Amino acid sequence: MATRPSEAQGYELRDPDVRLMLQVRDDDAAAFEELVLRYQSRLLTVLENLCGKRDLAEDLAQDVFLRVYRARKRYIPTSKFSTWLFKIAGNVASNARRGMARRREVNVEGRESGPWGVNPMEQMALAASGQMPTRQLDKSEVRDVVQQAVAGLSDRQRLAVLLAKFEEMNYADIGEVMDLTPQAVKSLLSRARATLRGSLESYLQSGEWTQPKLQQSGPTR
Amino acid sequence: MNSSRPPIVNPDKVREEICAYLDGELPAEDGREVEERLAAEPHFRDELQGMERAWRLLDELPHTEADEKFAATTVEMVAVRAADDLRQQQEQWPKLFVRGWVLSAGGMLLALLLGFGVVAGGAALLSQTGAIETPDDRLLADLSVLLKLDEYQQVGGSDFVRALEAANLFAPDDALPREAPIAESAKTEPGASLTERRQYVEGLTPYERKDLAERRERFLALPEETQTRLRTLERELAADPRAAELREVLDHYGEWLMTLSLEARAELRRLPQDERVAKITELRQQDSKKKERRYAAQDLRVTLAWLQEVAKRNEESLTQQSLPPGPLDTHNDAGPMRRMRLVSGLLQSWQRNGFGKNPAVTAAEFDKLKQNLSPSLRKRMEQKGGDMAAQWEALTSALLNEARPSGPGLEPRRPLDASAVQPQHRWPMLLQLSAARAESVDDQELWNFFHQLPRNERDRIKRLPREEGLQALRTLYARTQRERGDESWDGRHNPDGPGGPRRLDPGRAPRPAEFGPRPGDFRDGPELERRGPGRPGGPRRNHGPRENGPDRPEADPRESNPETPPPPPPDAAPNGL
Repeated sequence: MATRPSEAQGYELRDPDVRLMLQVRDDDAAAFEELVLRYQSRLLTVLENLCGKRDLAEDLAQDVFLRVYRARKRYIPTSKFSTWLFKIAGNVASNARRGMARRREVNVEGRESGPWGVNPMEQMALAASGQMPTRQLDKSEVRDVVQQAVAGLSDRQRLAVLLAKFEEMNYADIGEVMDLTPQAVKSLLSRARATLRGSLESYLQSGEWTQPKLQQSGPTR
Repeated sequence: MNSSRPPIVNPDKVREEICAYLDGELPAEDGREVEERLAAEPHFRDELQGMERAWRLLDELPHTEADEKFAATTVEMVAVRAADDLRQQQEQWPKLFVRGWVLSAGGMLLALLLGFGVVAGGAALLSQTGAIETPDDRLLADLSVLLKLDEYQQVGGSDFVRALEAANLFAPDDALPREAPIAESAKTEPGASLTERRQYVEGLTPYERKDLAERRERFLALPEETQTRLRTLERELAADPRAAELREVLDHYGEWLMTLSLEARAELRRLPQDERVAKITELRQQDSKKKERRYAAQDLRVTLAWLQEVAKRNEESLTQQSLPPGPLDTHNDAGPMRRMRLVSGLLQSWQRNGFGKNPAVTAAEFDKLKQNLSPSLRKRMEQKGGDMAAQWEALTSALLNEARPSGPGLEPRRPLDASAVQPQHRWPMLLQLSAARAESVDDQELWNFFHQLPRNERDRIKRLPREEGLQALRTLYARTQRERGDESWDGRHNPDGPGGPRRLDPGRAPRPAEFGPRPGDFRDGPELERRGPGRPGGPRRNHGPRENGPDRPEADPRESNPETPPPPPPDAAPNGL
């Protein structure tokens, strides 16, 4: 979609990161470094929660920045910089997931049923089997429970949730990242929240969770 | 959803409306309908609260912080991969087409590599060639340029430095605190012999040698004409009768530049010399005003805290006097209102008896106050001689002139003739100004304050409608400001030591603040601290979390909560939103 000059100028005026990216387009290395510094932790946070592994998230984040660099000469500010960056991140993560799924088809058998690793819902079903003793969860265990619940979302739901939660994006921006209309984002997030609520229901009601014996750490960690 | 159509009953649609309501994405009219249903339908309310609780649990998800090497390795990786791309392009494209692309892409690659590779590369070079152990004449001849490389690169020529000096924009008093650069240890004078320079280089520490090697690599990577320009600049500065002053101005200018954003620096570089000096003048004036406002607010806070401390110590005698009515609530004889009444009583007593008399203030107590004031105000007080009353008068006048609130939406400050204000009206006016200042906080300060709040408090405010959210934030800010400075009053001590942590926690009982400024309050050059360090060659870059705040760097407050109407709180009474 062509961008009107005034629209591009609007983003340039409003978004300091767009201005930095335009400097990158003009081969300003310092500006690129500055963008990396500004976004590295934000990107890693979303990617780690998306794929569940720190080392993989770091690889993906580097791939995102490489793509940003390679795309610099074609860059036209049609949205906020963060929206553009996370759109690239979503594509990178999606490609990686497909690649991993293909490799797993060939190489892996057995328990790892989800695209990023162990199916968290299976783990949660195990946990909720009622055969394990219940006890109050400590902080790290609560985190594991929440991570399992998030990992149980579909990839698209998970990305939308993470963008809303961590990046505080509105529906329009999430839609931009994911090529969806705001109405579609509304439905997607609604289903995601309902799923999360269902997954966390027993924890929400009692503050307790069954602790599965086999689950020494989070499902994808 | 609106009142002219039947309520939504499809469970999926109901859930969508609830989620959109929680996310602040519903139009106002639909939002009101949700609120009506919240009030009337318990299951609707349960659904909303369940979703909200689940959403809040996501706060437990990890926030990943990049380690300090991540940016460096990423930029290196990108540089290497981009170099591969470049090589492949060169192999495939016709020569003429490649040439222009290579010039720009190659330049950036070089810059990328210089950013992170030069230190290691320079060290390797040193070990392989022994360049420092037997420095070549070229390095020694360029030594003065290398030691000032960063500063020289920021200016066009010696005329610009002279213009800066003439404009008196970087006087020594304005120097920012900084790491000692290698140049400070240099005993090299521009006219020093090669032998002396060699001795100087041989006397450098390993770190300084590595730094010098890095500078040499960067210098040699510059275009030939730039190298010539920098050498000319060095010669002209050395030959100037005011060489020392010009170099000092250049140092301060370089340090100040590091406090600017990359965009601002780039903008300055693009301007012709005259316009650049004018722009720098404007920016320096803005800096000065910001510093003045920050100091004035802090001075008023410090003075009020000191007054409370004195009043607390003399509570009994002041109580025996007829205390004036409290500014807000004459019936409340405890807590902040009582303190304000006692402070008012103290000031009135001094008004009658003379400053520091009945109740008495010792010179040591007064010195304690002065030590916590900004250096400029302290200096102005001390210019009045040793008389405490005269110094107090100077303090009062200064506060009356400078502590008035200013900022967006407020009348511009006009000079105030403090002597025209009746003495009995001065401190009542200042007490009111203190309260008004807290209410009239500017957007940036409010934004910073917002990010110091605990997450649950931030979430609560974000869920309020925009205007309510802003008002709640201002009120919280004002309350916290008032509650600072009460520590000594209540006899409590700040366990965190002087200043204590800056993080606020209004969700708990207000933590009374200490008497005296917090760390960094009177530090010159706060911009340096806030914006982080500068480019390679300047102070070391902090590879920690995002700059300028715990959540987002350089976030414009207008781009977030204040402009995006936050959703209302799910836990509020349905009709009370």
